[in-house]
Amino acid sequence: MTEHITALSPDVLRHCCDPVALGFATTDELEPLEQLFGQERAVEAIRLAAGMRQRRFNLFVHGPEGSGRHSSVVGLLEEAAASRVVPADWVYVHNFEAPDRPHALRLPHGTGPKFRRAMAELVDDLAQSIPALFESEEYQSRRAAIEQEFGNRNESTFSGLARRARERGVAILRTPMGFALAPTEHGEVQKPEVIEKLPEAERDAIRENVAQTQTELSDFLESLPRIEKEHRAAIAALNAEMAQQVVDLNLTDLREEFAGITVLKAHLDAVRRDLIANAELFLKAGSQGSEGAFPIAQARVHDTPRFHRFAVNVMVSHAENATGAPVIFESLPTLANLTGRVEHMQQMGTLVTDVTLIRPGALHRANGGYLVLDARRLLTEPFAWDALKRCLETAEIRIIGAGDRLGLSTTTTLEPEPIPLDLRIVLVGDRYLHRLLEAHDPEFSQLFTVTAEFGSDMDRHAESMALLARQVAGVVKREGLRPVTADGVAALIEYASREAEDREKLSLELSRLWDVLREADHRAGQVGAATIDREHVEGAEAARLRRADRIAERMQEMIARGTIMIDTRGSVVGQVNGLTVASLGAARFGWPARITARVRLGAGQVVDIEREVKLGGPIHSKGVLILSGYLSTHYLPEMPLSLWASLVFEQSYGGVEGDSASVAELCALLSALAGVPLTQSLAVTGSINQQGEVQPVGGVNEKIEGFFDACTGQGLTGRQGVLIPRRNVDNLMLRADVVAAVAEGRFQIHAIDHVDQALELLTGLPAGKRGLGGEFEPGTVNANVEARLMDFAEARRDFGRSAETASEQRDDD
Amino acid sequence: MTTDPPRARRVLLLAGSFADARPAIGLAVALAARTQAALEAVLALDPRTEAAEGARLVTWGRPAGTTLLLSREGMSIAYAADARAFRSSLDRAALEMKLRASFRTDSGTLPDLALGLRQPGDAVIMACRRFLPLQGPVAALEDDEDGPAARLATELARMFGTRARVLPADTPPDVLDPMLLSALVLSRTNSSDPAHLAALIDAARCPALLTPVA
Repeated sequence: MTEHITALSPDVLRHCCDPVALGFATTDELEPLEQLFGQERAVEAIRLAAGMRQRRFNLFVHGPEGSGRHSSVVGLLEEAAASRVVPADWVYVHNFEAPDRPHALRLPHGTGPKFRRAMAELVDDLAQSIPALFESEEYQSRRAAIEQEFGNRNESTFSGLARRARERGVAILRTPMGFALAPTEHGEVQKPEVIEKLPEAERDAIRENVAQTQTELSDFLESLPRIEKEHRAAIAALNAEMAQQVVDLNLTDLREEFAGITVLKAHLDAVRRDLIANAELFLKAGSQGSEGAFPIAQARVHDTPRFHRFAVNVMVSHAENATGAPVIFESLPTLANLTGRVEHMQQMGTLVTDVTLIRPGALHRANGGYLVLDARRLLTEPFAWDALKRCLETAEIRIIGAGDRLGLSTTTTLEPEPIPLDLRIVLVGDRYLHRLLEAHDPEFSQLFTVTAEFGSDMDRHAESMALLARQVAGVVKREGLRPVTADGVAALIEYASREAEDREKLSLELSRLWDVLREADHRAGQVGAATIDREHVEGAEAARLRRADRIAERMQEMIARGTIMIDTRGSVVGQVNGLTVASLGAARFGWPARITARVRLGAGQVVDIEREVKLGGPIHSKGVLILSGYLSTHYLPEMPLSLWASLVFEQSYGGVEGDSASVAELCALLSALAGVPLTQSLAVTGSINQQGEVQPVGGVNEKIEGFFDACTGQGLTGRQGVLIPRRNVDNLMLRADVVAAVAEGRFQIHAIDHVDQALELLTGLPAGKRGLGGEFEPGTVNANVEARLMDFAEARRDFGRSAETASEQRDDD
Repeated sequence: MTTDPPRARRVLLLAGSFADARPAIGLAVALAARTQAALEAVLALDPRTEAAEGARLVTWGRPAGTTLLLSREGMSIAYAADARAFRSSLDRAALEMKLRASFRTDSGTLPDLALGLRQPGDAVIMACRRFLPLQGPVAALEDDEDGPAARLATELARMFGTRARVLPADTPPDVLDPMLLSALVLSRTNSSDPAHLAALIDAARCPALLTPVA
């Protein structure tokens, strides 16, 4: 029998960590470790991408949630960024030639805000000095001279004309239709009927006077446009001449301050021309005001929209004393947050915009450095991924809003000059997204040539445990937690192994571990403990499980009450306890499921009832087909399999997936064929291949614990236990109570390699091997199975012959 | 000595046509905003134009040799169009200053309407314009250099970016003609006779303001 070979000793059921071996009393003695550990491959890839200067060496980082991908990437990039040069500032300024296409100017870092302040001061200064200039004696005198000249030429002409008209008895009336020339008598307008009654000579005289006035007035009005144009030109020339003096004076300091920056010269020249041409903008801008008790020394008018054309919009700036390149993490990578946007403001019922309403995006802020983005969020934001690719391909940031891309924008907008882009993009996502992008987006592989994969676990050995302990010390220090004792760290290490589902591994999904640590600190605080000890860690772990296992508890209650029919005693033909596991968020739990098999004569068909009713997933169906293959090749390989069998997960209504029950299903089927009962004290998990070898499965700890809880509910007998694949032994990190029950002989765990071992443990009979004659040893399970199949085959053959004979007789008749 | 302009209860803008009203709208709105006064505009139909039916009309841009006569129907259409333009322009300007403005039409010469509609506390603007937008001083006809008209003239001169001049209240109209005034502010003493007012307006050919009186 195999029992003594397969039974596992308690010491392999949980890989306990010896706190003494850790070599410290509390984490206060340790040097905190902030860097990533156990992810050397990923770190190497990140450093490569961070160090490469060529385009397209963008990086995709993938790995499990909670593995510290984001924080680690940012940390490594900051390390690399520290040695890079500080990028330049970028500003947008008004384009005086094409106002809808603002210019982008590259300035030495730290210069952008200075230039913005300088331009704002220039506008404020001009708002004071230009009105003062136009109020000056010199200006007023010269303006008065011009006005007088044109007044003399024009207004005095009209005065004379009006005087002559009065003398002729003609009134010049201003009406909405124009000037009406009406004859008057003693200052009163004469009506036409009155004039008609006058002697003809008088009427002729009146007509002559009106006609003469009409001619003079017409000549005068015809001369007006030309004179008006000359007048405007004369005033404009005077204004420009005067404005030029004050503009040049005010620009002198500014030009000197930024003399070394070539790109600013052309812009300042354009500003100067515009200021001179539009000096009247400032005429009413600089009026002194006061705000309550605080007099304003100088009016701040640069913020008013009419002066925005002189404003400097700093898109990105780095302080003069800054070091290194920027590392930006954009948590909400919308199109606007990435490439920037052009905002609008409401003005008199319409939407307007100008250069000051261009807003920078993460690409602007990260230009010259690194930009970290969450891949999933990026891909779910409309147009964001496409815009990012476009920017990377063209190496420039072009601001195009979603409305413009859809052609929905009907209001005036801007098309800012694109800004050259030189940065490294780091996408953080998961393996699935990486695969999807590689498969479906041909540009992805071109643009993201480096991949960094974060592992989910690392080997558990003295060095890695020591590093984990230092990381615990790091979290303790960073978050101000209580120090953790060596025993507390040992409990955390055991938790990390359990999370890794491997006694020889440590999970690197550290966020859960830190959550347990934080909760343990809280529990320690509640009882007034100065340090975090094992009991606090295990208490936190148990509490987390308890909060999540309401459903598991309910399942166990239903098993205990017999609602879910699970026998943990006795023996039944064609019935076995399988094990299932379910995940609810971070919590996983297992419970037993009854699997039954029924057989009869047939044509070699094994019916998976779960699949028939579409409750079975493809992997489960694959497992059933594999066991069918095992059955048909292992027994009577030279004869047709004349069997009809059905397999079912009893009381399962929610679907079955995975092949971890295939050993159990095969045992139930063989039991039904052999007519040998299976013990219900044992539960089985494991998948099978066509050679009958048992393969490892997932969730083995939870499955064992689930059956242990069911047995506990029905009473432990000492004969109960679980059969697991031997290749899962390294995955065992069982609860302390299960380990204790095994140690006390109240529960057993067997590791098996082959289905024959399962049969022997479940039936108490030898499985049986083929002898030299090719037949199984008599009295064994396999011999019984083969005999039953032989019976089916012969019965089928006989049935076929009799049917053939009956058919021939019918033909003869 | 105070430099505050006299406060108005209401600013009344009177014009005989939209062409005359247009340059004065900004002034009226600014004055109303400055003094927190209500703004009312009146497009006045000069009764003399009714009497002048059939009179020859002289307008800009009409080809030489053609003659247009003043007709009742044409006048009615032109007047309605001017009223629409006046009201629309006024509303826009008032909205910019967050003011409410009312508008109506009336019959009468500007001096008659000014004196007839004027209430205590009202500032009245009689709109008139030059052919060229010449910028001259703002004159106040007032004997007291610190009087309300002089103060208002100072305020307006600041708005126009020009200078204020205070002239004697009995300054004859023909003195004003060559001065190319930007605005004329009249005190109580020289703003009670319609004929004198008409003569001053004809001579100054710029917006003429009657200062508020208690």
